[in-house]
Amino acid sequence: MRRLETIEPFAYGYLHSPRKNMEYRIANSIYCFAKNIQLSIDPKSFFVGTPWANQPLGVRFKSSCSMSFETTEIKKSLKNAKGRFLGTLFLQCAMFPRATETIDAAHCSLKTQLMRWNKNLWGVGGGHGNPDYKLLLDSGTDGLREKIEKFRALNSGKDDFYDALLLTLDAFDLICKRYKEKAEETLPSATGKDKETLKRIISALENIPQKSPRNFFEACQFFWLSFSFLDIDSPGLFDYTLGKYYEEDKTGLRYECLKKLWELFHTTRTWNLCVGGSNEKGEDMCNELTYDLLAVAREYKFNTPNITMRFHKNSPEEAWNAAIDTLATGIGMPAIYNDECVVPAMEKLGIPKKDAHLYCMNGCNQIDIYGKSHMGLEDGEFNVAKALEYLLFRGKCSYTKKKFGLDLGDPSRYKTFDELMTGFFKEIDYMIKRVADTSNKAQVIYAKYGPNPWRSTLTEGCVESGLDYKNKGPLYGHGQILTEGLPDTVDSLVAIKHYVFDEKKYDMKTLVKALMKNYEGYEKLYKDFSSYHKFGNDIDEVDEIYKEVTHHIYNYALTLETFRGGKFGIGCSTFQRAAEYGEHTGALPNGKKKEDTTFADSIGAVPGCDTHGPTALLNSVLKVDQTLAKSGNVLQMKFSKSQFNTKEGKEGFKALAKTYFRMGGQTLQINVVSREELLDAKVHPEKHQNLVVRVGGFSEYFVRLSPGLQDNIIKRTENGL
Amino acid sequence: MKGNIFDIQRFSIHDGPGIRTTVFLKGCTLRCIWCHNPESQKPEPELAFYAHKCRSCGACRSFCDKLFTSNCTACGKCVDLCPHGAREIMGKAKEAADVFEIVKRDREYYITSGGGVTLSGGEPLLQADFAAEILKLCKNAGIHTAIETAGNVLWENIEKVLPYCNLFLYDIKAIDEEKHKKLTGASNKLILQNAEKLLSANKNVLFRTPVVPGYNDGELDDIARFCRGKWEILAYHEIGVGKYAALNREYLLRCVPPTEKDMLSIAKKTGAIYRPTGM
Repeated sequence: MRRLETIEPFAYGYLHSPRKNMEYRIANSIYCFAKNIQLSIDPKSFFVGTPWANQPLGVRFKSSCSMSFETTEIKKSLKNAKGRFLGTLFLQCAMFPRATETIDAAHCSLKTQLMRWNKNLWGVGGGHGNPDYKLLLDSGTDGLREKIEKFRALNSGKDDFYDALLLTLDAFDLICKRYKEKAEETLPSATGKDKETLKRIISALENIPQKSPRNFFEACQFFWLSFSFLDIDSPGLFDYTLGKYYEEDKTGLRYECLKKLWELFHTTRTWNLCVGGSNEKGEDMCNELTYDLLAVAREYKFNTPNITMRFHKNSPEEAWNAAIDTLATGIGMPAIYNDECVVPAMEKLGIPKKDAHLYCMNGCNQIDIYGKSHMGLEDGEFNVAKALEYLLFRGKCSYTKKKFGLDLGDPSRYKTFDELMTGFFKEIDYMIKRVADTSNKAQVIYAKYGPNPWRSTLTEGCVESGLDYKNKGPLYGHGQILTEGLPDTVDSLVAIKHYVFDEKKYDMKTLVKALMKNYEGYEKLYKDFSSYHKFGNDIDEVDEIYKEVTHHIYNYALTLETFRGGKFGIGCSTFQRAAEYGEHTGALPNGKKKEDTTFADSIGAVPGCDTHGPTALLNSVLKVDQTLAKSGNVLQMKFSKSQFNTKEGKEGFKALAKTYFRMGGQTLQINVVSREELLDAKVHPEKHQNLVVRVGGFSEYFVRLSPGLQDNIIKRTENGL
Repeated sequence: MKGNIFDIQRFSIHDGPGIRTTVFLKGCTLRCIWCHNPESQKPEPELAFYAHKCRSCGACRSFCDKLFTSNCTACGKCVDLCPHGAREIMGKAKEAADVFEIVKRDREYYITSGGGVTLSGGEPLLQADFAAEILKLCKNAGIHTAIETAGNVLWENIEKVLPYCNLFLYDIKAIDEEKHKKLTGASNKLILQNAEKLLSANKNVLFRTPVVPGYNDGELDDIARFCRGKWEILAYHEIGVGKYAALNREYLLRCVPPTEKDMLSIAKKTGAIYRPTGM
């Protein structure tokens, strides 16, 4: 077994933990790992720290050690281990990323799994997080130890939990100490600039991580060591955490540090960092770091990490201009968010104003409360158009022909549109409930077998209550479910209302037949249904139904509770999945044919259907109370380059965004590209390798997208020619 | 009251200050050879046909034998019949109140940006009563109003909108009368007279000139003198060329659009305002 300790220390620590408590087992793994991992130092990267955390546990450690992966050895050990079935399963998942499907299989029925594979719905219980790096940096690990001891005294009988947290902190200290030793070892052979770098690192590690940083270099080094330790996810409120160190720095190195850190973020696929915004007094939170960070983003034009910038009614013009100049480079960032919408949305969940102002993004567009919550993640997703399919085809999914939904009887029996809507909402409720139940089952499993002592230390509520991050510890434990295909379904309902109920030009039977035949032989019907009014054009008749459907979905989800002790909220950010979901959905009454693979992008109009310009699209979207949305309620807009390379264009966009926010909009995400450029990129990808577009929550290189998605992006109305 | 319009464009940012809704009124007294809105010239609705979308299915022929003959009344039936969207009626009659309903929907954006409504065309002042009614409704609702005119109308038409119009965007295409006739098919006597009257009535006027290289760029110095500083130049562009074919007309102009650099140097030399379009 000695061999396993060095080959795969994480597994060794787990299997040979002196205590059987799950939190302690994981902490022991982490410690064992910190002790055995081979460290390397590259002075060129300016900082030490190893990005082993951006893959599931185990594998991430392995890859950082550059060790060969002795699968048979681990499997043998697992077989002999006395852990329960799911416990070993979880460890397996940690080792083999593909095994997450095995975990799904452990808690989902076959039907739910089929529904997931066929893009009807899914539910999970893991995800992104925003640990409190501000707390870590400002108090150092010694400060955290004090905090842990303080609460251990208050919560008796939780020694295993608190010892697990302390052991994890020790593991972190150990890694830092080993890096220092390694640097000292390397120093004599280093020359020139490398020598300086190593000296700087050694000096920093004499102070951090036990104490708080003395300059911006130390702050970045501390941040990077901790961020890369176990959790390359989302840095959270970046300028809020590091702004103080940036502004007080007197070493003259701060801009270079920032650039080097930015390179590290990019190479490790760091998710989302959030800047700007207001505090609970309504004061603007931008600082020098905010503006310099945007300058670095403009300089590098990386497609990752995602940048989110928060705005509010007192945001200075300087902040708007910095954001717009960054958008003008075409990187699709920052995504801009509105405090006046998100803060009330969080307050309605019972989160106090002070904490609501600490909201930030993680992953693509999930809203979290910085260092205080476990809610910024996808708990599940469902395809709204499937609810309509179930209703029209008596519970059947058109793609699989399997009965996944409720059979509410022959749809021809509905006498009025309102009756039909009642049926539609029954299907919707059934889907949302199923997502929530599936997610809660997974949440229970993660709580039991996947504790996270590192995040527990850095998330308010866990240390205080003695409960793990995954096990109801964090202050806020709300959930987030995403919708797909909502605008497409709304357009379908609008056309049904008009032609079947109001005008009575077609009966329901004919429509259902036409849809089943993918409109073949029903050209006249197709023309009518496909050319009727569409969402996104400021047409009240359509927007009213959009509002009714959206409000119902958002409000119903909020009646369901998460295992973590919160409510399920809804968001809409379809990412690149809009094409997958569209592909798995048959003909719809909005004129979508089976072979049309594109769904609407997030809450925006169906591609090519918003023909009245951006103000009309915004007005349509604004009919919904966006404070009901608890996760990113993403509206994507595409503007041609000319919108951002003239003064009028920039001012026009600024006024557009400000108006949207003043009227209650939550977020805008902007692509700046010319249509010609996109068309050419499709034909000559080699010439456009650097063309970045924003797809759902993240920016991607255009040439890497599927042809279907490329078409979708080209088709999305190009506003403001 | 009803008038003929051919488009309403929201989120316009180049037709006056701020975010604007531009309403295009149909019918024009000039026939500028570079006109980028050929559908604006005739006052009545007309049929446009996009050959690249037509698949020769014959659905339209089965109904009508007057397609593109002078007998076509632009009734629009063939538009409904075409399964491929190859046909479109350009222009329709609309109530001033209905136009105002659409304009008013973007009021919040006007407030943020200092924008408003702009009546364009064609020549909006050919339908002066209709124009005045829209502008009056807007002005009463606190919306900033502008008119884009070529000024080739009777002064009494202009007088009708005077009380309701905050800004005149006034086209001057050439100062030399013969040249003007050659380029636009009409004399500029009335245009220059009306311009003088507007200035002496102390109205807010911004003169505008499209720069069409090889056609009117020799006129620019004279125009500059006439406009006395309230003058903006715009670059000729080719965006409207496709519409000529759709309307079964020939595009006669042969001209290379000026570059951004050309425009900037003209602006510098003549003292004109030039706002880069980024195209």
